[in-house]
Amino acid sequence: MESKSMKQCKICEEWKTEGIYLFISFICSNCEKEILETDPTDERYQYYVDRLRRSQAPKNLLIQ
Amino acid sequence: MKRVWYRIKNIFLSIIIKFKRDPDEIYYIGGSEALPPPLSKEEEKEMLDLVAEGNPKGKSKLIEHNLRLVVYIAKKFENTGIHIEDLISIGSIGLIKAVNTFNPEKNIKLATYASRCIENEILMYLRRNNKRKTEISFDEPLNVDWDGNELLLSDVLGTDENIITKDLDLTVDKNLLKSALSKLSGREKQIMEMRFGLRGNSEQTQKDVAEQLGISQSYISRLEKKIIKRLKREFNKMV
Repeated sequence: MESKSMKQCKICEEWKTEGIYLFISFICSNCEKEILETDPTDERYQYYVDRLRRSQAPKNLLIQ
Repeated sequence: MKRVWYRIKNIFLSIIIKFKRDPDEIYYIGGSEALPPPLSKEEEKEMLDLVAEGNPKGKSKLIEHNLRLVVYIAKKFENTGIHIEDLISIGSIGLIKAVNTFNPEKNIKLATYASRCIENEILMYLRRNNKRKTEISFDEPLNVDWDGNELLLSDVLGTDENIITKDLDLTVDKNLLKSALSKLSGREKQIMEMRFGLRGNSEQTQKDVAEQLGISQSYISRLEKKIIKRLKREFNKMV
């Protein structure tokens, strides 16, 4: 059973306590640090873009 | 006192968001929940102080309340061929970087700094993407048959079959020709060399050769036919 303060990271999908919220998506501190160090020219960058996109629901595109 | 008031305001906002009672809002991809409005100057200062203390809540709030900026900037790049969801993800990464690297002591607003970071992030991504447009993978499927088998680029790539033997064949042919030519008389050999540029010179017309040797062109033509026939016989003997 996960502790109440544990949240699942949208990037690595691990359960962590420390991190930030990107509105409704939780990003753990480790992934946040990796994102900060990753440049759009890096191979790994697309992975983060895909993970963040996956955490969105395309059908609910409600931007005015 | 300010902090208590801020908390009450936040709880109130959350309740509004939960029951979706505010129709005049910008929404984020990921649900029907409206994006929070930008923070006031005081609220922003308060959150920046929290960030300075190392409190992640401050960071989250700053990100959350600047997401409208991400959506606004991402929409400007919609005509680039990159999907809006990707643009928002990239812009969000830019915003995270902005909040992490923002220095409140510098005379610049967070929103101004964040806008630059978000736009830069998207522009860098687009530049990388444009470079890669010209690249293609060996595993790129070109076609799929009725059974679902993919025809990959690597399946159709290759070199000419004779790429290795081509040079060897040429050397052998040259030697055969040299050997066949050695069977000809001096004059016959000279005519062939002049006509076909066999000694590294350029090829000459029958007329040119005839003029140089002081004989008629028709005679050169007859001789040439005769010599070629003979060379063919010599080749057949050798092969």
